[in-house]
Amino acid sequence: MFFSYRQHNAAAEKAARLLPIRTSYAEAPSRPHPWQILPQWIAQPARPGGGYWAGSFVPGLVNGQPPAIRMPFVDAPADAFARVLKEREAAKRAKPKPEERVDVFLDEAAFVPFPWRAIGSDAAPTGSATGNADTGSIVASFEPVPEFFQRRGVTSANRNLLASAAQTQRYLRACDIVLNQPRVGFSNEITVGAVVDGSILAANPSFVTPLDQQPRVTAVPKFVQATPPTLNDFLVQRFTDAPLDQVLLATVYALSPALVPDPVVTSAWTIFVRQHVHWNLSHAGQRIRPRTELPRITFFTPLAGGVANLIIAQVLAENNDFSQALLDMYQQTRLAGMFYAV
Amino acid sequence: MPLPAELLARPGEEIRPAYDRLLRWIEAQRLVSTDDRIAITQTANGQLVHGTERPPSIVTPLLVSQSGKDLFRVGEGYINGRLPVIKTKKGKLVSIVDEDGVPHEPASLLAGRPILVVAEVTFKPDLALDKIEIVTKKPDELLRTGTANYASASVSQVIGHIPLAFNRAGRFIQFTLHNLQVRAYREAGVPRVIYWPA
Repeated sequence: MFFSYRQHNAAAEKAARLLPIRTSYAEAPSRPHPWQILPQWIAQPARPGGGYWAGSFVPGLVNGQPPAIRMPFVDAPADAFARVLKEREAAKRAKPKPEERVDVFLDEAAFVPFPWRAIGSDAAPTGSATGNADTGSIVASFEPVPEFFQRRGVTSANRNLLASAAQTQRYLRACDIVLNQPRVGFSNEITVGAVVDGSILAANPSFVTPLDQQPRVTAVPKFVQATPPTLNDFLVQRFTDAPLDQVLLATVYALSPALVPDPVVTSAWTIFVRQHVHWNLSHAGQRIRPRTELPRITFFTPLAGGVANLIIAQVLAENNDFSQALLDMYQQTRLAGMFYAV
Repeated sequence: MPLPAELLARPGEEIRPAYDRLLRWIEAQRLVSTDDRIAITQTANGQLVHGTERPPSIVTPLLVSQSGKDLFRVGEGYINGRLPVIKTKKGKLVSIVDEDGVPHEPASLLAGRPILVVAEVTFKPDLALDKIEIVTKKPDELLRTGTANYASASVSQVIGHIPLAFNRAGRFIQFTLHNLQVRAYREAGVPRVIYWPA
C-alpha cells in the first residue's frame, strides 16, 4: 500500500482529534452515616465574630429512637416548634417561653452550638504546674496539638508559663460532641455512729433514678470519660454515681485563617470534624439483681439466765447489717451500661 | 489533543517509521475502555472524556421503606438465618420475600407518629426461637424502651422487640443495617432477649 506524506499527516491529525483533549474524573458521592455532623454558621451580628458555629446531624438512633438536644424554644426548627406547641396544648400546659429549653430531636434538624476550647499557643494548662527555683520557670502541661493541625501552622503552647507565649500562624479551637443515655445510678452514704450506742459505721446504699430514659446529645468544650468507681469510692462518706452512660460521638475543630490578629471564631474559620461513631447504637443497661439475703449470724447462750443474749444479739446485729450492706454494694454498684453498634 | 510535530511526515521522508511512531503515540494515549461510568463527548477539536466513580452498591438487609402514605415494605434480610413474616394490608401473613425472591405486598402502618417498625421475636418456653414477625409499634409500646436487653412480661411466652426503623415525619430512618442474631436466656429466673449484628 502506498501512503503519501499528505495521507499520513491527515491520518495523524484525525487521530489527534479523536483522542481526548481533556479528561476529568468525579469521585463517588460520599454516603452519609448516622451521627455525621453538619457544621453551619449561624449569623448573629450582635455577637463577637458576627455569629457562631453550630452542628446539626444526620440522625443517629439509640435503641431505634433519635436522641434529643435541649434547645431554646425560640431556636427550635419549625417542625419541632409545632410539635412542642401541640404537646403542650394536649397536656393543657402553657406555651413555652422563648428561652425555655425544650427537647428537639435529631430528625427534626436539631442543632447544638459549639462551645470551644483553645488548643495550641493560647490554650490554658490542662493540669498542675511545677515550679523550678533554680531556673525560675513554672512548667505546665497542655493538650497536644494534633499533627494534622501542626502541619497547617498551629504552634504548641509554651510550657513555661513565665515565658512569652509561642508565636503561631493559626489558632485552633475544639469541642466534643457527646451522647448521654440516662440510666439508674448508685449512691451510698456512710454514717458514723457513736460507739456507746453500739454502732460504729452504717452503709446506706440506694439507687438514683433518672427523670427519663431519653438519650440526649450535648456539646462540651472537653469530654472526659468517667472512670468506673472502685470499692474505695463507695466507702467515702457520700458517693453518688452519675446516672447516665456517655459516649464521645465526634470532636469538632475550628482552624483560623493565617495570621489573624484576634482569635475570635468567625465564619472565615475552617471546620474539621473527627467522627468517632459511625453506626446506630444499642444501649444495654445493667440489670439490677435480686437482693441476696445473707444468713444472719446468731448466738444463744443460757449463761446468766439468758440475759447476755440481748447484748450478744445487739453486737451481732451490727455485724449482720454491715455485712449485708457491703454485699448489697458489691452486687449493685456496677450499673454502667454498654453501647454497641447494630 | 495537540499533535506533536515529530509525528508528521515531511515530503520525501520514509513513511513507515513515521507511521510506527504515530501508532506508538496513539497506543500511549489510550486511557480506559468505555462503559457506563465513562462519558465521551466528541467536539471539533477532539474528545472530552469524563469518568464518574460510582459508590459501591450496598443492599441493607431488612431495609424498611415507605410505600405511599400509610403502607410500608421490608426488604430481604434474615434473623437467625430465617426470613421474618409480615401481615400485609389484606391481612395475609407472608414471608418478606417469597421463594422466588419476590417482595411482599405492602403492609399497613399504624396511625399516628412517631412510629417504629420492629421485628417481634417470640420464643418457646424452652427458649428456642419460635416466630419472627414484622410489626409496627409506638415508641412507648416497645418492651423495655431504653435498653437493648428486654425482660419479657410473661415467663411462659418470651417476647423481644428489635427496632428496625423509626418514622416521625413520613420517612423512615433505618436503625439496623445488618442481618441479625437473637437469643433468649434466663438470668436469675427472668427471661431476657438480646440481639446483635450477624
